[in-house]
Amino acid sequence: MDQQASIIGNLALKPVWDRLSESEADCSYELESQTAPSGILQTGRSVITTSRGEVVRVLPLASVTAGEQSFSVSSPDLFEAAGIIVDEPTSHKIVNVAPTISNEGMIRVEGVTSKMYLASSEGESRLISHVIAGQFAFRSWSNVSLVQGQCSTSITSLAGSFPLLRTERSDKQGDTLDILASQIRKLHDEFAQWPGSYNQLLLAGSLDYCKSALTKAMRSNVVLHEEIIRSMRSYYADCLGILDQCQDTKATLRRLNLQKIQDKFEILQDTWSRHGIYPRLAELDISDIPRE
Amino acid sequence: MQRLAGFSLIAYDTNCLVYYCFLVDIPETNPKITITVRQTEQARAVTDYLVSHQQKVTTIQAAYEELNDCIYNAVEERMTDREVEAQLGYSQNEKVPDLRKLQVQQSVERKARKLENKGWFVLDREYAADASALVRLQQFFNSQDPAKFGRSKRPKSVDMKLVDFSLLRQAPLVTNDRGISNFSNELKTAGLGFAIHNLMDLTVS
Repeated sequence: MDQQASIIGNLALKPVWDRLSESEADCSYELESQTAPSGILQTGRSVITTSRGEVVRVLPLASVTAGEQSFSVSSPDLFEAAGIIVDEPTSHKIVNVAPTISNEGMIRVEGVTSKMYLASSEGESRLISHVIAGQFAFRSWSNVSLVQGQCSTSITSLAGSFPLLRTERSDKQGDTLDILASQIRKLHDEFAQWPGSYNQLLLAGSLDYCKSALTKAMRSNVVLHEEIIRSMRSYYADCLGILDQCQDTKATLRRLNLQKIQDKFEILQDTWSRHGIYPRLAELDISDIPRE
Repeated sequence: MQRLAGFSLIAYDTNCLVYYCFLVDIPETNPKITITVRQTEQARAVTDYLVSHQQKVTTIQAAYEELNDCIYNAVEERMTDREVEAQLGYSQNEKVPDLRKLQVQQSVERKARKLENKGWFVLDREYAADASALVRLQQFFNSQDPAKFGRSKRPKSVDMKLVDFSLLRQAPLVTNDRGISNFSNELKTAGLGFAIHNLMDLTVS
């Protein structure tokens, strides 16, 4: 179902973590990288911003400890090089880190997976499951900030394919809507299976509303205003955040305060309604809900 | 309704409030489709009667905080009922979509939240449960024959608080929970409860 894209290349990362100050408007870190055989990695500087202008402290995707030394491998640069700006990594979880030291100066990292939110510069948000497997060699144990080695990276998206090499935004709105509709459908299907509660119905119902609105818009071939798409992507990303937060303890969803989500859903409905594309939920009549 | 006559305050449990508010019109339908629960008509008849007799409905903060849970349960139960599915035009093997359920949930919630603005409704924020009274109530319910609870669960903390509140305020308690109303007499005799009536047993003339 999910497609994967791989990068194999040489990495030389020198993250300057201490530059990530919460007082700064934008975060930046220096990236030194060699151009990978695939031509994806670029030498340069990565700037990480959030859509709200908040400062994001970039967490390392993989933390590895070897002996008494430790270093971090950060992957946002990979995404940045591919034209993606890391946006609000509200969820970040290292599921499994299993480094083994094969010999002095060599370290093997396998099965390192993490999840984080990425958004393209156009605001497209996706939940990424990031896997690093490969071998890393320290040039010197005393200078662990410089990491060199081979990295095999595969990226899968929870909500469908996410080929790293093809992240450019499609010019066709239909493609964008297709992807968004598919993501929303999958997320709705997921929440629909969760233990029932007021909050569960809020999420499943609101995503069903989004799905229904998109289906109707796509069937009638209307060109959607960018504001509508943005609001829906943003709402989708928020719901995805809740999925990630409660995935392992679904019963806790019941007790969450989702007032922020509820307010955002109200705004989303206003946006659709204001543009005359889809009525607010309270005004939906029977004919407004397209049958599958 | 003579049983409630003469009391200025009548206490409701959360479900009774939800039933009163569960009256949702589906827009633009001809003939008009209104979704209610089985108890809505009775809850409205009783409440209208009380209001017309200048009596007030009250509940406690702890019960009010359970509104969302109670609304969800009522919506889920009702919207998976074949009668409603058919009313909305869904065939036997079609489920009512989640957005329609959410539409109903939000409508009921809006009405319930607006209760606070009604002149006849009093949300009692002052009531503080007496711990020893709750212990006595717990002991009382623990000592009862399980068969007498029928299909109802044993009363939860909030149910016992309502019983205690009703006694403290000398306000008859109206509930849809047989797990409480079945013990009305025993609670009264034990000095643990005031008058407790099942919503569906009240007769509105």
